[in-house]
Amino acid sequence: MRRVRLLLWSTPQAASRPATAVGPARRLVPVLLVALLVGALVVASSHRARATGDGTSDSAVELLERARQAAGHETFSGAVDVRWRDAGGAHFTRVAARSVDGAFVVGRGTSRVVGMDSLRWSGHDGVGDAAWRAAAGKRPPSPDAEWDLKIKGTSEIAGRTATVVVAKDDDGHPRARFAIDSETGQLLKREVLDDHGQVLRSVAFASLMLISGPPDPAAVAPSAAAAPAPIKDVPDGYPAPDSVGDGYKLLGRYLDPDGSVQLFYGDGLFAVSVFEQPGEVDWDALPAGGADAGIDDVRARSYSTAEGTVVVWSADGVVLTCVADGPPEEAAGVVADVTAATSDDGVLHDIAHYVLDPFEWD
Amino acid sequence: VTPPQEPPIESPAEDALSAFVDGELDAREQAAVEQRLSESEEWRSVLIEVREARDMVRALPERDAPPGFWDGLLAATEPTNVVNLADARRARRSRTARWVALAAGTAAAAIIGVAAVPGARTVQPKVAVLAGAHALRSSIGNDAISSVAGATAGPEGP
Repeated sequence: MRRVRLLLWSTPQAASRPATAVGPARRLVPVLLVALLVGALVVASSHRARATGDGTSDSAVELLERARQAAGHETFSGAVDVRWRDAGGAHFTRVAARSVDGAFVVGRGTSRVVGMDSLRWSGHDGVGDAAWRAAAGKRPPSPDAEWDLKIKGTSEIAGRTATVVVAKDDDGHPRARFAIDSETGQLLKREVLDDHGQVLRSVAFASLMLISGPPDPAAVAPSAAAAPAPIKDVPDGYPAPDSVGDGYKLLGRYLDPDGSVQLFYGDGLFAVSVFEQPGEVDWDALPAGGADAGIDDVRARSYSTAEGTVVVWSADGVVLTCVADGPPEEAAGVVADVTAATSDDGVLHDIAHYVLDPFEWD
Repeated sequence: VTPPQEPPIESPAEDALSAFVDGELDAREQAAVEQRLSESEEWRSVLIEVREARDMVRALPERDAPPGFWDGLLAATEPTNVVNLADARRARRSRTARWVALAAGTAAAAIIGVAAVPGARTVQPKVAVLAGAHALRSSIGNDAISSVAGATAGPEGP
Protein backbone atom coordinates (compact mmCIF):
# COMPACT_ATOMS: atom_id res chain seq x y z
CA MET A 1 0.00 0.00 0.00
CA ARG A 2 2.72 2.40 1.01
CA ARG A 3 5.11 1.42 -1.70
CA VAL A 4 3.24 1.04 -4.93
CA ARG A 5 5.35 1.42 -7.99
CA LEU A 6 4.35 1.06 -11.60
CA LEU A 7 7.00 -0.05 -13.97
CA LEU A 8 6.10 0.67 -17.57
CA TRP A 9 8.36 -1.57 -19.51
CA SER A 10 6.78 -0.73 -22.85
CA THR A 11 3.81 1.11 -24.19
CA PRO A 12 1.20 -0.47 -26.45
CA GLN A 13 2.20 1.97 -29.18
CA ALA A 14 5.79 0.88 -28.98
CA ALA A 15 4.78 -2.75 -29.01
CA SER A 16 2.72 -2.30 -32.16
CA ARG A 17 5.28 -0.17 -33.94
CA PRO A 18 6.48 -1.97 -37.08
CA ALA A 19 10.06 -3.09 -36.94
CA THR A 20 12.53 -1.55 -39.36
CA ALA A 21 15.00 -3.83 -41.03
CA VAL A 22 18.53 -2.72 -40.21
CA GLY A 23 21.85 -4.50 -40.41
CA PRO A 24 23.54 -5.98 -37.32
CA ALA A 25 26.39 -3.44 -37.37
CA ARG A 26 24.02 -0.53 -37.62
CA ARG A 27 22.05 -1.84 -34.67
CA LEU A 28 25.14 -2.41 -32.59
CA VAL A 29 26.58 1.10 -32.82
CA PRO A 30 23.69 2.98 -31.17
CA VAL A 31 23.37 0.26 -28.54
CA LEU A 32 27.01 0.64 -27.58
CA LEU A 33 26.74 4.41 -27.52
CA VAL A 34 23.73 4.30 -25.25
CA ALA A 35 25.40 1.79 -22.97
CA LEU A 36 28.50 3.97 -22.69
CA LEU A 37 26.41 7.04 -21.96
CA VAL A 38 24.37 5.25 -19.29
CA GLY A 39 27.51 3.83 -17.72
CA ALA A 40 29.14 7.24 -17.58
CA LEU A 41 26.07 8.76 -15.97
CA VAL A 42 25.91 6.00 -13.34
CA VAL A 43 29.59 6.39 -12.44
CA ALA A 44 29.28 10.17 -12.22
CA SER A 45 26.15 9.94 -10.10
CA SER A 46 27.70 7.42 -7.76
CA HIS A 47 30.86 9.51 -7.38
CA ARG A 48 28.84 12.62 -6.64
CA ALA A 49 26.77 10.79 -4.02
CA ARG A 50 29.83 9.54 -2.22
CA ALA A 51 31.52 12.91 -2.40
CA THR A 52 28.65 14.94 -1.03
CA GLY A 53 26.92 12.26 1.05
CA ASP A 54 23.48 13.59 0.32
CA GLY A 55 20.33 12.45 -1.32
CA THR A 56 20.94 8.74 -1.67
CA SER A 57 19.09 6.05 0.15
CA ASP A 58 22.33 4.18 0.85
CA SER A 59 23.82 7.14 2.66
CA ALA A 60 20.63 7.64 4.65
CA VAL A 61 20.55 3.97 5.64
CA GLU A 62 24.18 4.14 6.67
CA LEU A 63 23.47 7.14 8.89
CA LEU A 64 20.45 5.49 10.52
CA GLU A 65 22.36 2.27 11.14
CA ARG A 66 25.18 4.25 12.70
CA ALA A 67 22.72 6.14 14.90
CA ARG A 68 21.34 2.85 16.23
CA GLN A 69 24.74 1.90 17.55
CA ALA A 70 26.07 5.31 18.60
CA ALA A 71 24.22 5.54 21.90
CA GLY A 72 25.75 2.21 22.85
CA HIS A 73 29.22 3.68 23.23
CA GLU A 74 28.82 7.45 23.63
CA THR A 75 29.20 9.17 26.99
CA PHE A 76 27.04 12.21 27.45
CA SER A 77 24.58 14.04 29.67
CA GLY A 78 21.67 16.10 28.53
CA ALA A 79 17.98 16.93 28.56
CA VAL A 80 15.49 15.45 26.13
CA ASP A 81 12.21 17.08 25.10
CA VAL A 82 9.31 14.71 24.43
CA ARG A 83 6.30 16.10 22.58
CA TRP A 84 3.18 14.41 21.29
CA ARG A 85 -0.30 15.32 20.16
CA ASP A 86 -3.66 13.69 20.71
CA ALA A 87 -7.29 14.74 20.53
CA GLY A 88 -6.82 16.67 23.76
CA GLY A 89 -4.06 18.84 22.34
CA ALA A 90 -0.28 19.04 22.51
CA HIS A 91 1.78 17.56 25.33
CA PHE A 92 5.31 18.22 26.40
CA THR A 93 7.70 16.87 28.97
CA ARG A 94 11.43 17.23 29.49
CA VAL A 95 13.46 14.36 30.86
CA ALA A 96 17.10 13.97 31.81
CA ALA A 97 19.31 11.58 29.90
CA ARG A 98 22.75 10.33 30.82
CA SER A 99 24.82 7.68 29.13
CA VAL A 100 28.21 6.29 30.07
CA ASP A 101 29.73 3.82 27.64
CA GLY A 102 26.26 2.59 26.70
CA ALA A 103 24.86 2.30 30.22
CA PHE A 104 22.12 4.89 30.36
CA VAL A 105 19.47 6.44 32.56
CA VAL A 106 16.55 8.40 31.13
CA GLY A 107 14.06 10.18 33.37
CA ARG A 108 14.30 10.69 37.07
CA GLY A 109 13.07 9.26 40.32
CA THR A 110 10.83 6.27 39.90
CA SER A 111 9.77 7.35 36.44
CA ARG A 112 12.87 6.38 34.57
CA VAL A 113 14.37 3.77 32.32
CA VAL A 114 17.74 2.23 32.98
CA GLY A 115 19.58 0.20 30.41
CA MET A 116 22.82 -1.49 29.52
CA ASP A 117 23.41 -3.87 26.63
CA SER A 118 20.21 -5.95 26.45
CA LEU A 119 19.05 -5.10 29.97
CA ARG A 120 16.21 -2.67 30.42
CA TRP A 121 14.34 -1.70 33.54
CA SER A 122 11.47 0.72 33.93
CA GLY A 123 9.64 1.80 37.04
CA HIS A 124 6.62 3.96 37.63
CA ASP A 125 4.99 4.89 40.91
CA GLY A 126 2.22 2.50 41.74
CA VAL A 127 1.89 1.11 38.25
CA GLY A 128 4.38 -1.67 38.24
CA ASP A 129 7.72 -2.53 36.82
CA ALA A 130 8.74 -3.74 33.46
CA ALA A 131 12.07 -5.13 32.47
CA TRP A 132 13.90 -6.67 29.57
CA ARG A 133 16.87 -8.87 30.06
CA ALA A 134 17.26 -10.15 26.55
CA ALA A 135 15.67 -9.66 23.21
CA ALA A 136 16.40 -12.74 21.19
CA GLY A 137 14.89 -12.38 17.80
CA LYS A 138 15.47 -11.89 14.13
CA ARG A 139 17.24 -8.92 12.63
CA PRO A 140 14.93 -6.21 11.35
CA PRO A 141 14.74 -5.42 7.64
CA SER A 142 16.81 -2.60 6.17
CA PRO A 143 15.46 0.86 7.06
CA ASP A 144 14.73 1.54 3.41
CA ALA A 145 12.89 -1.74 2.86
CA GLU A 146 9.53 0.02 3.15
CA TRP A 147 10.41 3.71 3.10
CA ASP A 148 11.91 6.14 0.66
CA LEU A 149 14.84 7.62 2.58
CA LYS A 150 16.65 10.78 1.57
CA ILE A 151 19.17 13.07 3.21
CA LYS A 152 17.81 16.60 3.31
CA GLY A 153 20.48 18.99 4.45
CA THR A 154 21.57 19.78 7.97
CA SER A 155 20.15 21.45 11.04
CA GLU A 156 21.37 22.45 14.48
CA ILE A 157 20.09 20.49 17.46
CA ALA A 158 21.25 21.30 21.00
CA GLY A 159 24.20 23.22 19.64
CA ARG A 160 25.38 20.41 17.42
CA THR A 161 25.29 20.04 13.67
CA ALA A 162 23.01 17.26 12.52
CA THR A 163 22.35 15.62 9.17
CA VAL A 164 18.63 15.23 8.50
CA VAL A 165 17.19 12.03 7.02
CA VAL A 166 13.61 12.15 5.76
CA ALA A 167 11.41 9.06 5.31
CA LYS A 168 8.70 9.43 2.67
CA ASP A 169 5.70 7.23 2.00
CA ASP A 170 4.47 5.98 -1.38
CA ASP A 171 2.76 9.25 -2.07
CA GLY A 172 6.00 11.15 -1.53
CA HIS A 173 4.81 12.64 1.74
CA PRO A 174 7.39 12.96 4.51
CA ARG A 175 6.30 10.82 7.47
CA ALA A 176 9.40 10.94 9.67
CA ARG A 177 12.56 12.99 10.13
CA PHE A 178 15.76 11.94 11.87
CA ALA A 179 18.49 14.42 12.83
CA ILE A 180 21.80 12.63 13.32
CA ASP A 181 24.90 14.21 14.85
CA SER A 182 27.27 14.75 11.96
CA GLU A 183 30.29 14.12 14.19
CA THR A 184 29.31 11.33 16.57
CA GLY A 185 26.47 9.69 14.62
CA GLN A 186 24.16 9.96 17.61
CA LEU A 187 20.44 10.45 16.98
CA LEU A 188 19.61 13.93 18.24
CA LYS A 189 16.01 14.27 17.12
CA ARG A 190 13.27 12.02 15.81
CA GLU A 191 9.95 13.25 14.50
CA VAL A 192 6.94 11.25 13.33
CA LEU A 193 4.60 13.21 11.07
CA ASP A 194 0.92 12.81 10.37
CA ASP A 195 -0.41 12.62 6.82
CA HIS A 196 -0.61 16.41 6.70
CA GLY A 197 3.07 16.80 7.46
CA GLN A 198 2.45 17.99 11.02
CA VAL A 199 4.63 16.65 13.81
CA LEU A 200 2.70 14.03 15.77
CA ARG A 201 5.48 12.91 18.10
CA SER A 202 9.02 14.06 18.62
CA VAL A 203 11.96 13.30 20.84
CA ALA A 204 14.82 15.82 20.71
CA PHE A 205 17.83 16.75 22.75
CA ALA A 206 17.37 20.21 24.24
CA SER A 207 20.90 20.17 25.63
CA LEU A 208 23.77 17.77 25.25
CA MET A 209 27.22 17.62 26.79
CA LEU A 210 29.75 15.04 25.73
CA ILE A 211 31.46 14.06 28.96
CA SER A 212 33.59 11.35 30.42
CA GLY A 213 33.39 9.75 33.82
CA PRO A 214 32.70 6.58 35.72
CA PRO A 215 29.49 4.68 35.07
CA ASP A 216 26.44 5.75 37.00
CA PRO A 217 25.93 3.04 39.63
CA ALA A 218 22.18 3.25 39.17
CA ALA A 219 22.58 2.57 35.49
CA VAL A 220 24.01 -0.90 36.03
CA ALA A 221 21.95 -1.98 39.03
CA PRO A 222 20.34 -5.31 38.19
CA SER A 223 16.59 -5.37 38.24
CA ALA A 224 14.58 -7.74 40.35
CA ALA A 225 11.58 -7.36 38.12
CA ALA A 226 10.53 -10.36 36.09
CA ALA A 227 11.33 -10.04 32.44
CA PRO A 228 9.44 -11.35 29.42
CA ALA A 229 10.89 -14.61 28.19
CA PRO A 230 11.61 -15.21 24.51
CA ILE A 231 9.56 -18.14 23.19
CA LYS A 232 9.74 -20.11 19.97
CA ASP A 233 6.01 -20.59 19.54
CA VAL A 234 3.04 -18.86 21.05
CA PRO A 235 0.54 -20.93 23.08
CA ASP A 236 -2.43 -22.46 21.27
CA GLY A 237 -5.15 -20.01 20.40
CA TYR A 238 -2.91 -16.93 20.21
CA PRO A 239 -2.51 -15.46 16.73
CA ALA A 240 1.06 -14.75 15.61
CA PRO A 241 1.23 -13.94 11.90
CA ASP A 242 4.73 -13.75 10.43
CA SER A 243 4.10 -10.33 8.97
CA VAL A 244 1.50 -7.65 9.56
CA GLY A 245 0.56 -4.28 8.19
CA ASP A 246 2.75 -2.71 5.61
CA GLY A 247 5.94 -4.74 5.70
CA TYR A 248 6.28 -5.39 9.43
CA LYS A 249 8.09 -8.67 9.99
CA LEU A 250 7.79 -10.75 13.15
CA LEU A 251 11.11 -10.33 14.95
CA GLY A 252 10.38 -11.85 18.34
CA ARG A 253 7.80 -13.64 20.49
CA TYR A 254 7.77 -13.20 24.25
CA LEU A 255 5.80 -14.55 27.18
CA ASP A 256 5.27 -11.98 29.90
CA PRO A 257 5.32 -13.04 33.56
CA ASP A 258 1.57 -12.37 33.76
CA GLY A 259 0.92 -14.92 31.02
CA SER A 260 0.27 -12.52 28.20
CA VAL A 261 2.05 -12.81 24.89
CA GLN A 262 4.01 -10.03 23.21
CA LEU A 263 4.77 -10.12 19.51
CA PHE A 264 7.41 -7.70 18.29
CA TYR A 265 7.45 -6.58 14.65
CA GLY A 266 9.69 -4.22 12.71
CA ASP A 267 9.81 -2.76 9.23
CA GLY A 268 13.38 -1.54 9.53
CA LEU A 269 12.49 1.99 10.52
CA PHE A 270 9.63 1.61 12.98
CA ALA A 271 8.40 -1.11 15.31
CA VAL A 272 5.08 -2.55 16.47
CA SER A 273 4.26 -4.65 19.52
CA VAL A 274 1.08 -6.70 19.78
CA PHE A 275 0.15 -7.78 23.31
CA GLU A 276 -2.34 -10.66 23.63
CA GLN A 277 -4.36 -11.64 26.68
CA PRO A 278 -7.25 -14.13 26.89
CA GLY A 279 -10.60 -12.54 27.58
CA GLU A 280 -12.80 -9.71 26.43
CA VAL A 281 -12.10 -5.99 26.63
CA ASP A 282 -13.65 -4.22 29.58
CA TRP A 283 -14.39 -1.10 27.58
CA ASP A 284 -15.61 0.87 30.58
CA ALA A 285 -12.37 0.25 32.46
CA LEU A 286 -10.02 1.51 29.77
CA PRO A 287 -8.15 4.72 30.59
CA ALA A 288 -9.58 8.04 29.51
CA GLY A 289 -8.18 9.93 26.58
CA GLY A 290 -8.85 7.32 23.93
CA ALA A 291 -10.97 7.60 20.85
CA ASP A 292 -13.36 4.94 19.62
CA ALA A 293 -12.17 3.65 16.32
CA GLY A 294 -13.71 1.11 14.03
CA ILE A 295 -11.11 -0.65 11.93
CA ASP A 296 -12.55 -3.04 9.36
CA ASP A 297 -15.75 -3.40 11.42
CA VAL A 298 -13.74 -4.22 14.52
CA ARG A 299 -14.53 -2.18 17.58
CA ALA A 300 -11.36 -0.59 18.83
CA ARG A 301 -10.14 2.25 20.98
CA SER A 302 -7.02 4.18 20.06
CA TYR A 303 -4.65 6.37 22.04
CA SER A 304 -1.93 8.73 20.96
CA THR A 305 0.87 8.45 23.51
CA ALA A 306 4.45 9.64 23.76
CA GLU A 307 5.61 6.17 22.77
CA GLY A 308 3.30 5.75 19.79
CA THR A 309 -0.22 4.93 18.68
CA VAL A 310 -1.94 2.40 20.92
CA VAL A 311 -5.00 0.44 19.75
CA VAL A 312 -7.01 -1.88 22.00
CA TRP A 313 -9.50 -4.36 20.59
CA SER A 314 -10.55 -7.98 20.92
CA ALA A 315 -11.15 -10.84 18.56
CA ASP A 316 -12.29 -14.39 19.19
CA GLY A 317 -11.73 -14.29 22.92
CA VAL A 318 -8.33 -12.60 22.84
CA VAL A 319 -7.74 -9.01 23.96
CA LEU A 320 -5.19 -7.37 21.73
CA THR A 321 -3.21 -4.20 22.29
CA CYS A 322 -1.10 -2.82 19.47
CA VAL A 323 1.61 -0.22 20.07
CA ALA A 324 3.03 1.30 16.88
CA ASP A 325 5.78 3.91 17.03
CA GLY A 326 5.51 4.88 13.36
CA PRO A 327 2.81 6.94 11.66
CA PRO A 328 -0.66 6.15 13.09
CA GLU A 329 -2.03 4.54 9.93
CA GLU A 330 0.52 1.78 10.36
CA ALA A 331 -1.50 0.50 13.31
CA ALA A 332 -4.64 0.03 11.21
CA GLY A 333 -3.00 -2.53 8.96
CA VAL A 334 -1.67 -4.38 11.97
CA VAL A 335 -5.12 -4.53 13.57
CA ALA A 336 -6.67 -5.88 10.39
CA ASP A 337 -4.06 -8.58 9.89
CA VAL A 338 -3.96 -9.78 13.50
CA THR A 339 -7.76 -9.88 13.60
CA ALA A 340 -7.80 -11.99 10.46
CA ALA A 341 -5.29 -14.36 12.04
CA THR A 342 -7.48 -14.90 15.10
CA SER A 343 -10.20 -16.48 12.98
CA ASP A 344 -7.81 -19.34 12.26
CA ASP A 345 -6.52 -19.81 15.78
CA GLY A 346 -9.26 -18.46 17.99
CA VAL A 347 -11.91 -19.76 20.28
CA LEU A 348 -13.91 -21.63 17.63
CA HIS A 349 -10.75 -23.50 16.80
CA ASP A 350 -10.35 -24.38 20.47
CA ILE A 351 -13.96 -25.54 20.75
CA ALA A 352 -13.56 -27.77 17.73
CA HIS A 353 -10.50 -29.33 19.34
CA TYR A 354 -12.30 -29.77 22.65
CA VAL A 355 -15.24 -31.49 21.03
CA LEU A 356 -13.32 -33.64 18.61
CA ASP A 357 -10.35 -34.61 20.71
CA PRO A 358 -12.26 -37.38 22.54
CA PHE A 359 -12.90 -38.97 19.17
CA GLU A 360 -9.32 -38.94 18.12
CA TRP A 361 -7.37 -42.12 18.27
CA ASP A 362 -4.16 -40.76 19.65
CA VAL B 1 -60.06 -73.73 4.52
CA THR B 2 -58.23 -70.90 5.92
CA PRO B 3 -55.09 -70.24 3.97
CA PRO B 4 -51.92 -70.40 5.93
CA GLN B 5 -51.06 -67.00 7.23
CA GLU B 6 -47.70 -65.59 7.85
CA PRO B 7 -46.88 -65.34 11.47
CA PRO B 8 -47.91 -61.95 12.81
CA ILE B 9 -45.18 -59.45 13.08
CA GLU B 10 -44.60 -58.19 16.50
CA SER B 11 -45.18 -54.53 16.81
CA PRO B 12 -41.87 -53.13 15.70
CA ALA B 13 -39.87 -51.85 18.57
CA GLU B 14 -38.40 -48.41 18.56
CA ASP B 15 -34.95 -49.72 17.73
CA ALA B 16 -36.41 -50.91 14.43
CA LEU B 17 -36.44 -47.26 13.43
CA SER B 18 -32.67 -47.23 13.56
CA ALA B 19 -32.45 -50.26 11.31
CA PHE B 20 -35.14 -48.67 9.13
CA VAL B 21 -33.00 -45.54 8.73
CA ASP B 22 -29.98 -47.65 7.89
CA GLY B 23 -31.94 -49.74 5.36
CA GLU B 24 -31.31 -52.94 7.22
CA LEU B 25 -34.90 -54.26 7.34
CA ASP B 26 -36.34 -56.85 5.01
CA ALA B 27 -39.44 -56.08 3.02
CA ARG B 28 -41.90 -57.27 5.63
CA GLU B 29 -40.25 -55.46 8.48
CA GLN B 30 -39.95 -52.30 6.41
CA ALA B 31 -43.63 -52.44 5.51
CA ALA B 32 -44.52 -52.85 9.15
CA VAL B 33 -42.44 -49.88 10.18
CA GLU B 34 -43.93 -47.76 7.43
CA GLN B 35 -47.39 -48.78 8.56
CA ARG B 36 -46.61 -47.82 12.12
CA LEU B 37 -45.12 -44.53 11.01
CA SER B 38 -48.26 -43.67 9.10
CA GLU B 39 -50.34 -44.29 12.20
CA SER B 40 -48.19 -42.86 14.97
CA GLU B 41 -47.19 -39.27 15.45
CA GLU B 42 -44.86 -40.39 18.22
CA TRP B 43 -43.02 -42.78 15.89
CA ARG B 44 -42.61 -40.07 13.27
CA SER B 45 -41.15 -37.82 15.92
CA VAL B 46 -38.73 -40.50 17.06
CA LEU B 47 -37.76 -41.16 13.45
CA ILE B 48 -36.79 -37.50 13.03
CA GLU B 49 -34.68 -37.64 16.16
CA VAL B 50 -32.92 -40.79 15.03
CA ARG B 51 -32.13 -39.28 11.65
CA GLU B 52 -30.83 -36.05 13.17
CA ALA B 53 -28.66 -37.92 15.63
CA ARG B 54 -27.25 -40.11 12.90
CA ASP B 55 -26.52 -37.13 10.63
CA MET B 56 -24.81 -35.27 13.47
CA VAL B 57 -22.49 -38.12 14.32
CA ARG B 58 -21.75 -38.90 10.71
CA ALA B 59 -20.79 -35.25 10.18
CA LEU B 60 -17.87 -35.74 12.52
CA PRO B 61 -14.59 -36.09 10.64
CA GLU B 62 -13.39 -39.58 9.92
CA ARG B 63 -10.20 -40.61 11.62
CA ASP B 64 -7.79 -43.33 10.63
CA ALA B 65 -7.25 -45.98 13.22
CA PRO B 66 -3.77 -46.12 14.67
CA PRO B 67 -1.43 -48.84 13.43
CA GLY B 68 -2.36 -52.22 14.89
CA PHE B 69 -5.80 -51.17 16.05
CA TRP B 70 -7.76 -53.48 13.75
CA ASP B 71 -5.39 -56.39 14.37
CA GLY B 72 -5.88 -55.92 18.08
CA LEU B 73 -9.61 -55.71 17.68
CA LEU B 74 -9.76 -58.90 15.63
CA ALA B 75 -7.54 -60.70 18.10
CA ALA B 76 -9.78 -59.63 20.94
CA THR B 77 -12.91 -60.89 19.20
CA GLU B 78 -11.45 -64.11 17.83
CA PRO B 79 -12.67 -66.45 20.61
CA THR B 80 -16.22 -65.28 20.13
CA ASN B 81 -16.31 -65.00 16.39
CA VAL B 82 -19.61 -66.83 16.41
CA VAL B 83 -22.32 -64.23 16.40
CA ASN B 84 -24.54 -64.35 19.44
CA LEU B 85 -27.91 -63.35 18.09
CA ALA B 86 -29.27 -62.37 21.44
CA ASP B 87 -26.37 -60.07 21.96
CA ALA B 88 -26.74 -58.76 18.44
CA ARG B 89 -30.36 -58.02 19.04
CA ARG B 90 -29.64 -56.32 22.28
CA ALA B 91 -26.99 -54.29 20.54
CA ARG B 92 -29.40 -53.49 17.77
CA ARG B 93 -32.08 -52.56 20.26
CA SER B 94 -29.80 -50.14 21.92
CA ARG B 95 -28.70 -48.45 18.68
CA THR B 96 -31.21 -45.64 19.03
CA ALA B 97 -30.02 -45.00 22.50
CA ARG B 98 -26.44 -44.90 21.22
CA TRP B 99 -27.27 -42.31 18.57
CA VAL B 100 -29.05 -40.16 21.08
CA ALA B 101 -26.27 -40.58 23.63
CA LEU B 102 -23.63 -39.64 21.09
CA ALA B 103 -25.59 -36.59 20.04
CA ALA B 104 -26.16 -35.56 23.62
CA GLY B 105 -22.49 -36.09 24.41
CA THR B 106 -21.44 -33.99 21.47
CA ALA B 107 -23.75 -31.20 22.52
CA ALA B 108 -22.58 -31.43 26.12
CA ALA B 109 -18.94 -31.36 25.07
CA ALA B 110 -19.58 -28.27 23.01
CA ILE B 111 -21.30 -26.56 25.93
CA ILE B 112 -18.50 -27.52 28.32
CA GLY B 113 -15.98 -26.37 25.72
CA VAL B 114 -17.54 -22.94 25.49
CA ALA B 115 -17.51 -22.62 29.25
CA ALA B 116 -13.92 -23.83 29.52
CA VAL B 117 -12.42 -21.59 26.85
CA PRO B 118 -10.59 -18.70 28.47
CA GLY B 119 -12.65 -15.97 26.93
CA ALA B 120 -15.25 -15.08 29.47
CA ARG B 121 -13.16 -12.90 31.75
CA THR B 122 -12.83 -9.22 31.05
CA VAL B 123 -9.46 -7.57 30.67
CA GLN B 124 -8.37 -3.98 31.17
CA PRO B 125 -5.13 -3.60 29.23
CA LYS B 126 -2.77 -1.17 30.98
CA VAL B 127 -2.24 1.09 28.04
CA ALA B 128 0.63 3.09 29.55
CA VAL B 129 2.45 0.02 30.83
CA LEU B 130 2.16 -1.80 27.51
CA ALA B 131 3.29 1.27 25.59
CA GLY B 132 6.28 1.42 27.91
CA ALA B 133 7.00 -2.26 27.43
CA HIS B 134 7.01 -1.73 23.69
CA ALA B 135 9.44 1.16 24.09
CA LEU B 136 11.80 -1.01 26.16
CA ARG B 137 11.83 -3.80 23.60
CA SER B 138 12.11 -1.36 20.74
CA SER B 139 15.13 0.32 22.35
CA ILE B 140 17.20 -2.87 22.16
CA GLY B 141 19.24 -2.83 18.98
CA ASN B 142 17.98 0.67 18.32
CA ASP B 143 18.72 4.18 19.51
CA ALA B 144 17.92 3.69 23.18
CA ILE B 145 17.46 7.30 24.30
CA SER B 146 14.87 8.30 21.72
CA SER B 147 13.09 4.97 22.08
CA VAL B 148 12.58 5.09 25.84
CA ALA B 149 12.28 8.83 26.48
CA GLY B 150 8.53 8.69 25.89
CA ALA B 151 8.18 5.89 28.41
CA THR B 152 9.39 8.22 31.15
CA ALA B 153 6.69 10.77 30.45
CA GLY B 154 4.57 9.27 33.22
CA PRO B 155 2.41 6.21 33.77
CA GLU B 156 -0.80 8.04 32.97
CA GLY B 157 0.44 8.95 29.50
CA PRO B 158 -1.19 11.99 28.00
